[in-house]
Amino acid sequence: MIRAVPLGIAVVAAATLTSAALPQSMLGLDNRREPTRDADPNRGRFITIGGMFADQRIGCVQCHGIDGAGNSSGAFPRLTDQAGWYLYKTLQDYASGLRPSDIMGPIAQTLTPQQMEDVAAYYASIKNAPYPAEPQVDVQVRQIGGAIAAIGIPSQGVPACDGCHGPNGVGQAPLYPYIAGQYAPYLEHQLMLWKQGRRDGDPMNIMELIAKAMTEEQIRAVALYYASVQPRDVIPQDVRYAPEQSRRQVDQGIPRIGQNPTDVGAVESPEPGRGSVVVPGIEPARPPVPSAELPLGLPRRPLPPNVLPPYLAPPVDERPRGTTTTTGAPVGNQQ
Amino acid sequence: MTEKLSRRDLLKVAGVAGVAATVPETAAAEVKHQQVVQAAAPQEVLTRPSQQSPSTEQGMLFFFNDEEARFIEAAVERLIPADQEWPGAAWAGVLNFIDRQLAAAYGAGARMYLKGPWVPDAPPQQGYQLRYTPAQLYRIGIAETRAHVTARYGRREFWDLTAPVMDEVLSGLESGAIELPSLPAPVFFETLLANTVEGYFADPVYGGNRDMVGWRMVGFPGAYAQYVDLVELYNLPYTRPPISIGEAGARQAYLEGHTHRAQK
Amino acid sequence: MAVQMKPVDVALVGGGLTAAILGKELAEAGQTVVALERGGMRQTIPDFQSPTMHDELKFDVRHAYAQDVSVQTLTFRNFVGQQALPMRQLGSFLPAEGVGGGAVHWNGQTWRFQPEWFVLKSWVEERYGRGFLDEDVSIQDWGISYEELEPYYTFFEKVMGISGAPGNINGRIQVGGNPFEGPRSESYPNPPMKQSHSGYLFGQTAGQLGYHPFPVPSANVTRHYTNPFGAEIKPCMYCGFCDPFGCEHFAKASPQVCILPFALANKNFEMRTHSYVLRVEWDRKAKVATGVTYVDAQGRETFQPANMVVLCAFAHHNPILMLQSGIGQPYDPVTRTGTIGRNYTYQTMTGAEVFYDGEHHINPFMAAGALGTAIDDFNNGSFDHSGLGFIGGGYIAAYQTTGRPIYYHPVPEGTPRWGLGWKQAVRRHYNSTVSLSFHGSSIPHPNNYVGLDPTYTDAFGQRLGMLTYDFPYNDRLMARYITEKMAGIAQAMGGKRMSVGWLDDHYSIVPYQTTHNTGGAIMGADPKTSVVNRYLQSWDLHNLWVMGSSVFPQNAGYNPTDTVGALAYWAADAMIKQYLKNPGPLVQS
Repeated sequence: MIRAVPLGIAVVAAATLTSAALPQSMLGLDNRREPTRDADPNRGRFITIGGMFADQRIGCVQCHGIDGAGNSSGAFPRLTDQAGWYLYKTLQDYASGLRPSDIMGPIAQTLTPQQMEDVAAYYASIKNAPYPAEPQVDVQVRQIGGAIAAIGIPSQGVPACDGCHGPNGVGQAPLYPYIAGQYAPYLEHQLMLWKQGRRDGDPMNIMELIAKAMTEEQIRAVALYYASVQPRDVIPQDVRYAPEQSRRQVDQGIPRIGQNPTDVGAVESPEPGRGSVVVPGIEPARPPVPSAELPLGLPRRPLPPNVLPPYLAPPVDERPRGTTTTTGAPVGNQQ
Repeated sequence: MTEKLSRRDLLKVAGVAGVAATVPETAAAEVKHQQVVQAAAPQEVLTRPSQQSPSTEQGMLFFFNDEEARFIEAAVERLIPADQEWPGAAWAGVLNFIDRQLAAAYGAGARMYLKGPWVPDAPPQQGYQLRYTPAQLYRIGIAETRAHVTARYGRREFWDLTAPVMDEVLSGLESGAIELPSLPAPVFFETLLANTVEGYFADPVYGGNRDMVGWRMVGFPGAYAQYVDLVELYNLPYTRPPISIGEAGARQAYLEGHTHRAQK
Repeated sequence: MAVQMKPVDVALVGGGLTAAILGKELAEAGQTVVALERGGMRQTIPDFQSPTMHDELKFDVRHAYAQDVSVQTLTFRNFVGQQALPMRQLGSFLPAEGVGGGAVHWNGQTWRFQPEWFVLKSWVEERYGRGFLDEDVSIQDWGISYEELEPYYTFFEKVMGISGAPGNINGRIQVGGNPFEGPRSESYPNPPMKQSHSGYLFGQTAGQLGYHPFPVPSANVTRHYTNPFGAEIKPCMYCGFCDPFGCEHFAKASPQVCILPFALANKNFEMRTHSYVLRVEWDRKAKVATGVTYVDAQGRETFQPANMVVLCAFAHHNPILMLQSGIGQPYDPVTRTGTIGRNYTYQTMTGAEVFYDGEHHINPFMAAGALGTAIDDFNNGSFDHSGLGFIGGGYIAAYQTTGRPIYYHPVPEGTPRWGLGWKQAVRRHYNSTVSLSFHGSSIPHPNNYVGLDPTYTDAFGQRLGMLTYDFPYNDRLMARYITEKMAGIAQAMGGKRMSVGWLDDHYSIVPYQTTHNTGGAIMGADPKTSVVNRYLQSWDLHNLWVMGSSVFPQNAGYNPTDTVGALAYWAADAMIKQYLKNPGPLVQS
């Protein structure tokens, strides 16, 4: 029987949340509000400490920690800073069996999609969790791993990991997880699962193809390399266009949804810059286009349910409307 | 503002604001002038590279002399001006970009066929037929445009003109209404325009598109790009911050990208 | 005194796609083969890896993988009689340089030609009568039929792992494919690509208008695939950096991924890089090629003796090499006699843009080179030309190939070219615009040909090739007719406004249009009107062969690569099964 989390940990965890990501007023065990379709990191945090199971008290924190730092056993990866959408999809994959796991499978199956969103939102919101100590690695092994990460393995058709997993393995939200600073045993274990054909959930089986082309030594080297990279140390500080009063605008990356004229019909984002990585479920997930409307049965493979657009705008009315002239001038009441 | 403004920075301020600024030669005058400009210029104009980037290479010019640089910075800022939300070509470092391009292979015409005989008045379908490398084209084009401006606008320099008058000069170059002695003005203008767009949108490793503002403005996510799972999600508002070849933006993408949407 | 190399059986001029095909096949047939490539070696790893590969300025704007025109270029004029002037910068088309050639950094749009294209002259005469066309339309038959070429198309598509939806399998029309294509003996080796947002919007409207949309056949491979040689091609990741970039994922079919590893592993094959071929040497008496002279990496003029010479250079480089070598009779546009350089053709391109003004997130950067939805209802064999006064046609497609912003920033007509208005329009329309393109055929005309320039010379002191080209009246009519159809679709797509790019000016060497240059050393049944016979063997020297799109008598309304590859395998078959056993002309003139 797993015991309840001592309150002290929760307090520490609360302190690790940056105020920018989550106002202080939102911290604390607040489950009194009506459930919404929004992902709620607060509710997620409640779930991670086992609060949802009145008696059993099993929680994510037992293995992954309240700050999501995981541990180096190989079974419990670091979750902190991982994209929310990626974490959500991972839970979906565990529940559906795409990622078979005796531990995570049953746990994920007990969670509703809403709860998965909440948990993912919680772990995605944590900043500045400590990194594990750098693994003691032979320099040569680390160099081999670094070379694979940066340029790939020419003779085996393995492309550079960084191409998809981002500079120094910091990931490309929302789909490509960060792998820098992740525990080496975990990374090695996952690559081995792919190599043995026991893991799925990667687009176009690309990771399976890559892992199968690698030797076990290479897998180990690349895992050790990434474990020794700590993103905060290797990413250069950006130069920002930043007059203070318009910093908010700039920080969004691209114009705020709803303000940019090209954003008509987009999901209104309450906080700037989060649009690409929201946890699913903000809008009812619906296929963008019913395939029945396609005139000649253009083959569009239906998307598996767990990759339906999480933050998709309501489908736009696709019917032709209005008329235009070939000179480019709008006609009549177009505008 | 305790940091001392360099002369180059001042040029930058003057050029961006499009104000009729004369450049004082003494440090004391510079400081005084700086205060004037601060008062007059919009806030974003005062965001200077030296504040943002400790690197000394920002502002280091390889090809242009100071006056050419003032001309180019003023001109590119008219071609892509700043607005309320997005900075113009001057802030984006297009001057740096063009300067480095001209100092290197492109400026030297390294991949151009530069043998004679020359037929400079060829029809447009036959393309560029001048003798000049891009670097020579700029040097001559700037000098002759400046000469035209000082003669036409009461001995003022191009960068001293007000924005509408600068636009008038640029339009004159574009249409050929302004005749330069040594080259067709539209050729110079089109080259400058093309290079300005390049500098605004090329990867920041080339010295322009600072902070990837060109990419941020349109929503282009940059060099790190794989969309296999997203391409069929029509109308997806994709807002991952851009990342450049040199990993500019990686920190923002990491810190901002790897979080979740807060609740409503 | 030229450096003498050890004789080989076969000298290939060029190191691109056709050289890789022939190099592998001939080396495996026991021939010693050397490929002379003017550029350098490059491989998926490390040369094509991102993020450094994802550099629009270096590759797209400064043409890092294209020909260096400071060494050798062309002169160009629109009309016979005009003074031709050198192409001082690349523009309209981008011939490649470096191992793998253009097939390294192509988009991967891999179309078969409709059967009618191969018998165009007889087909037009039979269907519309002898007097249908102006005599200036110098179309002719290829000397080969679609049915003969079909197995080679199929094989080439297997080698490249082409992904697509078949439209006609052995005469049975398939739902979801191109119903106007020639019958194929089997389906594509891989399923079609995903559909992009712009492709969806286009396909939806085109379907409602009664046209027949389908996914563009693509060399951006859609799943893990092993080709007949054992090469592994990986699935496309839709990064939006296809043309003119190398693929970091082993996902875009290229000689490096699909063919070259097997050639390079064969000790009979040598890829000799930085070798600039100047001319083919030949014996005037015996009427055979004796080898090629080239400038080697150290700058020495070098002679490579060979039993057989195959020209695998870019389209117009092949006829220019023949002219520089004095082989055959140069085409004379005044007397309209001679064959070398005759029937130079290009591609007739127009476009349309639909601006949704913010109503869609198109996300143009979620792209791939051949990610598109097309209709083929207006290709040559798909509709009736009666009363229209022209021949030919092409396909209309909505491609989502790039969101790279230096070149891709569509703005509506009437937008200022610079300044605040331009900037705000770029921002407004970047992510909510769909671009349509019409990819039209090119019909030969007596004015359009490849010759040698009287004035200008290259870095080796040789005369430059000279291109004379303007869009023939036939093609202008054709473009007008089909662009109107495209505008009709664009209009129905429901945008706020649209722009249409008509073909209303002379051909210009400046703006990029396409690198589908064709003709100049054309194939045919009659040595008076063609340079090579139906096996791509020279009528003049039986041991000289010409590959590539140089041999197209006219250019169809499709991208040429599939046909180039199929013809290379067709020719390789003829060489190995017929010619090597009994060297001599395979067709008697």
